[in-house]
Parts: sequence; structure tokens; C-alpha cells
Amino acid sequence: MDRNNKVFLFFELRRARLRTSQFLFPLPFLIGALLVLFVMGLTVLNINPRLGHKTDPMHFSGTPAEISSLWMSIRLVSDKIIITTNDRKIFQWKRGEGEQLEIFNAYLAARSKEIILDAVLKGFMKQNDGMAVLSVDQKLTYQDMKPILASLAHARFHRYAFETRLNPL
Amino acid sequence: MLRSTTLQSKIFGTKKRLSNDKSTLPQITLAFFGVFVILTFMLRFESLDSYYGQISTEFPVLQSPLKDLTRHQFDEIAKTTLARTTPVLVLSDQAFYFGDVRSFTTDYADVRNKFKVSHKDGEPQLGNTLEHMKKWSKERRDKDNISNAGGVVIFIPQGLIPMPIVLQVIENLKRDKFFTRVILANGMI
Repeated sequence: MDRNNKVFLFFELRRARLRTSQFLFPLPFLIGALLVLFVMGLTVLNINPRLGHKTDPMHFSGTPAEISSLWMSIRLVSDKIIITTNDRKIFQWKRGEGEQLEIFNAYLAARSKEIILDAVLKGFMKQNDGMAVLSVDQKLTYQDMKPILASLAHARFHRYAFETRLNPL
Repeated sequence: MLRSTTLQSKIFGTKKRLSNDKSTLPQITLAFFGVFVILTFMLRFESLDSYYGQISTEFPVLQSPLKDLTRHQFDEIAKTTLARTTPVLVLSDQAFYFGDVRSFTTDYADVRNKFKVSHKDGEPQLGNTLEHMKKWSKERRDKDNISNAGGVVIFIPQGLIPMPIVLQVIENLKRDKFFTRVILANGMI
């Protein structure tokens, strides 16, 4: 078969395959739209509130985690301590210094007031509502945690817990 | 364009084959759900939460003298109080030290009221330390009538101790059941 015939055959076969019936027309669009909704639904933050927080807590046993009002991750990146909270606020300061510590203290005080107001309006308070859960990176030392614990105490969070990972995943 | 009869018969054969090949709705639906099942497994693997635990501790609080004037007359009574005889456990990079609050504050210079359990090859000997603490508590109870009924221990790690070790010590102290409440403190070392 000469070259021209080969080229013609190539395109003609594809044209023949593409001539499908039109009754399927809305379905490809629907498949695409549903897939997008499906992907969005599976990756919303409520399913895994820790998505986006890159802390590596230690693998150790502990009592099973309970839901608390305040959760934050604390990690060390290039000699900077970075704190991200469960309402997506970020605080950072250089290790050994405390540039944003006052802003962090103000944030904790505001969260504490919010929890108390919520409890007063509802008329009850769950046991863990006033507890702060800290997901601490393994690279941190106790010295790094001292200002954060002091801030928690100052904001009247008297109960706090350190998060651990129970399964090795 | 010159088309040979062979080529024409190939085109005709392909058209005939394609017109016989009907994609039915059940096949399309099945394929659609198959894709969904695969995507579900993949995306849930990515977004599924791990299992987490908590090692809890607390800050000691001062009792507020405010009186509740409402109908409930709520009054919070302290279950446990910290005293000069509350046990203290200090962790440094060389050893565990234990005593009570008095021995690390007012009687700091006295070497007879505090005890040391050195690390072995750099590894903290917490089990050994706990055994010694239990014996020491028993002696205090028998001799001086000092008991630690609240099960409180004040734990002071040195600043450079990594957090995983601090958390392991807290959890193992509570797991032993001899101490039920661990308070993290600082300022000593």
C-alpha cells in the first residue's frame, strides 16, 4: 500500500470510529461533573482535620483521642517554630525568640473566651471543651514547648494533652 | 485520491464492524461505577485519618474564693492540693533525680533528701526510678506519716530533653498507677 493510502486509511478509520450515536450526549458531561463533586467531597477538611498539617507526632500508646475545642500542631522548620491551629491560623517564631508570642497569646485568650461563651449560651460544657490538644513534632525539645505551655496557662486552659499516633501508618 | 479496492473493502469492513458494536447502557453504567469504586479506594486512602491517642496532663489552678450566688450554689472543692511534700521527679541528660518540693526548693543544699538514678548507656532507667520512688514513699509514710494520697507527681525535664522522651516518661508514670496525675513544671534546670 503506498504512503498516501496509508495516511488516508489512518484518518478514515478514526473518522469511522468517532461517528457514534448521539443518545449518549449528556452522559460524558455528567460523569465529569459527578467525578469533580465526588473528589471534592472526599477531600473536605472535616473528614481528616489534620490534612495539611505536616507534624510527625511520635508513635506511642495513649488513651484514645477525644474531640476537643482547641487543636494545634507544632513543628520545627529551619530553626523556626510553626504553630497551625484547627481553625487554620498560623503563628511562627524563631527558636529561642518569641516575635509572634503576644499575637499567639491574644489568639488563645480569644479562643478561651469563645469556648466559655459557647458553654454559657448552651448551658452545658463537655469535659474536653476546655482542653487543648497539641500535636508536637518529634524534633522539638522541652525548651521549645515552655513558652507555648506558659501561653496556654495564661489563657486559662488548665487541661492539655499531647497527641500520639497509635498505628504506625 | 486514488483508492484501491482493497482499501475500500477495509473501510467498508471497519464501518460494518463498528455499526454492529453497540455500547449498551448497562455496560456504561458498570464502567462508571467501577471507576468510582477505584477512585473511592484511592482517595480515601489519601484522606483517611490515622488513629491517634492522647497523653494528658494539666496545670495546677488556684481556687477562686468567689461565691456562687445563683440557685445552684456551685462550689468547687479541690480533690488534691500541692504541698511541700509532693513528690518531684527531675530528668536531666545524666540521671533521674527525685525528692519532694521541699528538697528542691528550701532544702536544696541538703544532699540527703534527694536521690539519683543514673542513666545506663544514656538510657533513662524509669522502671528502676519508679521502684525506688515507691520504696521512698513507703518509708515516708511509715516514718513521717507523709502520704501522697492524690497520686500527684511534679515532673521537671531539662530543657534540651526531646519531647518524645518527655511524653514517654509521662505516659509510663501514669501507666504504673502509682501516680495518677503528672504536672509538667519548669524553672529548676
